[in-house]
Amino acid sequence: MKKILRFSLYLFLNDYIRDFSGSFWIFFFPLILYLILTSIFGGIAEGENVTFRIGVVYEEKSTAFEKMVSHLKGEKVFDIREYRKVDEALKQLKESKLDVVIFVDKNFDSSFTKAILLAKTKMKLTVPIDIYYVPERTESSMAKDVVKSILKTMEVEIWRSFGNFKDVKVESSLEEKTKKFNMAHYYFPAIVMMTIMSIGFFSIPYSIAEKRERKSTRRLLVSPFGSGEFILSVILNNFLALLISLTLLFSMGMLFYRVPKVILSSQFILQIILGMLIYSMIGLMIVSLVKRTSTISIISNSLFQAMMFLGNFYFNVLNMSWGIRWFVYINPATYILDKLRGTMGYNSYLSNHLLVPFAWLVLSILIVTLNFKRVMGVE
Amino acid sequence: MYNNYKLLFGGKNVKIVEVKNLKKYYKDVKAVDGISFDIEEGSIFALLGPNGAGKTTTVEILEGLRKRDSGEVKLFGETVDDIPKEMKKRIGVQLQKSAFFNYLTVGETLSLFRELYGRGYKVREISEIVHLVDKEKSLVKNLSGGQLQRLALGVALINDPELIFLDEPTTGLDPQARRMVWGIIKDLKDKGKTIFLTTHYMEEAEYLADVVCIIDHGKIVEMGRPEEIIRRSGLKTVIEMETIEDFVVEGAEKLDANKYRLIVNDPERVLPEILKSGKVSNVMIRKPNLEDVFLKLTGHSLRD
Amino acid sequence: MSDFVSLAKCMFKESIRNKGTMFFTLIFPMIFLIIFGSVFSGGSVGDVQIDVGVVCSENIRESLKTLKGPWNLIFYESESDMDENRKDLDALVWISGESVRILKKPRDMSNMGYLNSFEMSLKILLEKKLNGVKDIVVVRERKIHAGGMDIRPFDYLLAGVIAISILSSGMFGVITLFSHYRELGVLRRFKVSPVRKISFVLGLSFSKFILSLLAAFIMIGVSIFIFHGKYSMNLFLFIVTIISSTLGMMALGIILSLSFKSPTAANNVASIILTIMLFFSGVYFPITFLPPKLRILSFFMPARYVADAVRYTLGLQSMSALNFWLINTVFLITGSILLWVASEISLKPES
Repeated sequence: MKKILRFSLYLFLNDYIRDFSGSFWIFFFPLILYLILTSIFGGIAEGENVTFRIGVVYEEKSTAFEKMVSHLKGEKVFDIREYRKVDEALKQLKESKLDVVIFVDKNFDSSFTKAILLAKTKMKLTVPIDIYYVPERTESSMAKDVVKSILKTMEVEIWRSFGNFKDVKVESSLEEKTKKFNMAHYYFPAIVMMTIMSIGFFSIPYSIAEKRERKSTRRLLVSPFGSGEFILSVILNNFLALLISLTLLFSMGMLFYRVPKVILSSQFILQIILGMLIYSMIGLMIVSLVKRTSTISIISNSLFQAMMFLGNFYFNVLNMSWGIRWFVYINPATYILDKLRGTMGYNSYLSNHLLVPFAWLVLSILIVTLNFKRVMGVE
Repeated sequence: MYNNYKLLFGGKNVKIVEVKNLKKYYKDVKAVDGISFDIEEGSIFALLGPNGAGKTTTVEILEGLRKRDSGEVKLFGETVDDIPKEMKKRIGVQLQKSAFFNYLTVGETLSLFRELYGRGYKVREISEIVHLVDKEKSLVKNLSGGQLQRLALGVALINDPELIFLDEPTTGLDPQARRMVWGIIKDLKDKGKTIFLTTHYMEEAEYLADVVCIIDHGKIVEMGRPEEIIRRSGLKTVIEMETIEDFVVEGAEKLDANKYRLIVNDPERVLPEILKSGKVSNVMIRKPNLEDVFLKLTGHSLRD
Repeated sequence: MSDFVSLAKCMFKESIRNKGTMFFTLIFPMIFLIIFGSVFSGGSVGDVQIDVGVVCSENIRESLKTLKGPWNLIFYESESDMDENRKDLDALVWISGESVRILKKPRDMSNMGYLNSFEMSLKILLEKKLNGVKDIVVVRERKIHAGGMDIRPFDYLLAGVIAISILSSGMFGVITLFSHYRELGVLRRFKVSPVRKISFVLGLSFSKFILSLLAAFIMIGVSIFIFHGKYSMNLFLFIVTIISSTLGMMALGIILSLSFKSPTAANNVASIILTIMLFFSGVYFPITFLPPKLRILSFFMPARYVADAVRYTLGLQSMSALNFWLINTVFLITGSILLWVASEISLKPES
């Protein structure tokens, strides 16, 4: 056991301390990615970061419309620009310099007045307001919806101003979980999973493959330090790396983002250990099946990206078409991450969190056992 | 200009390479410390020395890969700082470490360099010279070390150069492959090529070279024909022996655990005394070679 | 000329025979395309589905059915019925007379905005019904397609995927060329040959242009045949954009190769740059979603301009001709200058 521990330390020195890329990608990149994600997406759910650029076109001065626009100007989320000609505004819209264009024609004021007068009668007259938007641009579609809602609210304000208007009392509340929702906390387990997967897909297979290519593993085979001890040392080395990485990540999360202490609970930690075991075995499985480093790189990169983006890490993938959704359900990361988030108090999308991950673990162990010699480079 | 030079000075004694007081220093290390030599047309010039003597630095300065700190270099009678493109077409180079694009075949690599030089042999002709015909369609990444060396030699010869630089052309080759390369080099000489080769193998220098230049710590310690160098050293006889029971032979160089080499001028006096001790075996007496000369001149062997 | 042609041919063979190079240039971007295409190909807003449970009277039900938006109203007879199914709902609504209670519990937090919008629309509808008022203002939605064609967010996204693919192959390709091959010693042999510097660098880089073009066309093909994309491509401008942006991205790779001796270090820094570009260049989600202070970063991301130019050439976005040619000219000039610098440095004798 002492030999295994010593060997693990030597491996750690070789793979992580003296190799800048080893330490960078496992220790520091998760912190950088977490910082980027929280900076960008931190306020998105609440709409804090979003700014919609609205082009407002008056062909002629319109008191009524100006009053409406002044409501929009009051909202922080809008950046209002005024135009006299609709073509100019539409050009800006097409060139992505605006998100929506609101247009009223030159008779708006008179039509509006008539419409209000006739509204109290049985006759109906409506005044159109055109909202131009570009549906293929997400921000344009969203801006259109928001502006539309606000314009309809303004209409109600007009009615209210006539007096004798009955309000509907709306009591709106958020579920406890929703109140507590914090994007930085929500992403935290995703970054943990990404770190585990990086070690499993890259650190472990690359380290073994590189030693195999240099014939270092063969040299070990003819020594009293056997292959079993070597594999165990590799796993231990990477668990140590994960421990350091997570210490940094946990510190950053708890100190700067107030990630709740539940991440230190035994349930959360056990899930991480399980995840690490599974991905370590997957990494060993890859290196036992594939000889060349270049091919390992291809397989590892493909699986890593696919499992990350189709594991519900950053956006919801559970409502995709079945052509791709099947991958989400056979991806062990989906379950481990869902369980980690569940431990933190978020909604759990899946029921059985153990079946698929354990299936991967068992399959990997089986394949590594059958191809054991190939891990060490014995033909 | 080269042709005028040849007409003025005649054929065989024309100097293709002239080096005067060449220096190259790296911080505290004097890699090349004021060396001078000339190479005649059609001759094989071997720069012999141990690792770190300054051989590769010297040859790479002549090839144009490195800048010299001071001194003069003339190729084909012209002083050169940067070797002009037209002159490069007349020079063949095999670098110490050969590396080519891994995913090109041997044939494609030779063809590529043929195109870059714009002249020379056909690919098949060179493949035959370097014995790589059956490997023409193999990818470079699938070649063995020896095959890669031969490819590098082929690339050095593809443009039918007049002057060829070979930097340790047989390092890492097995004896058979080495002999094959020696055969190629000899053939090149027969065709009138001028060859500058660096080596740390004494046998190679002795076998191939018209002129051997022994270099150590950036300085030339001896230069001339191999037999002249040996004769000038004054060394007459070399006695090699194995000793038993930790017996030490005074003045002998230790080659191995109990193997010694003693260089003497009066073997008739020394030998009986050694044999009298009764503690030596496998005694061999031979003529001195360049390695023995090197040992005498520098105090250490070529393989140190 | 012949040395350029020979080098170009050989480099192309070297690239296409290298499984790793071909995978990362052609297949890897396709993985992203398929993932993001599958997530976003239906459109964004149109495909969002929020399940809202409602308990209300019959006459209100009929009015509620007129509410337009990405919500699916599920009516329950009783509170207890609705409560049993709360797990599958994003919001629970109880309407009784003049009061409404809404409990919002989005299963996907990104739908919170739509729930807020639903609340607003519900209030407006109920108030109008209660007060018997008519609509005065009718908001007419006018769709404009920047390129003149009816396209989806996925089609828009494709340009971003192509931009990142060009960035990746240009930048990493050059690092392989000037860092990795330099470390292996391959470039040294060329130094002693009579090859012209510019032929050397252009010949070796030429395959990158071809591979970038190939990758771009394959991605467009995949998006047309699998995701039913529609494009109105200006072939000439598209090719110009791919070539100039490849050159521009190669410039980045050259800077890294010259700054970092070790190819591993250069590759690592390139990976960081790629990650930053993914997030800050507006290719996968709008720049306007970035925090205000970070939005300025997008102006420094070459991928942003490449994506814009690609969209323009595919008929997905409008752009002034001046802007288009300015972007391409900057990439062409920067890339050319740096390639020339790289050729001078790669083939000069070591000091």
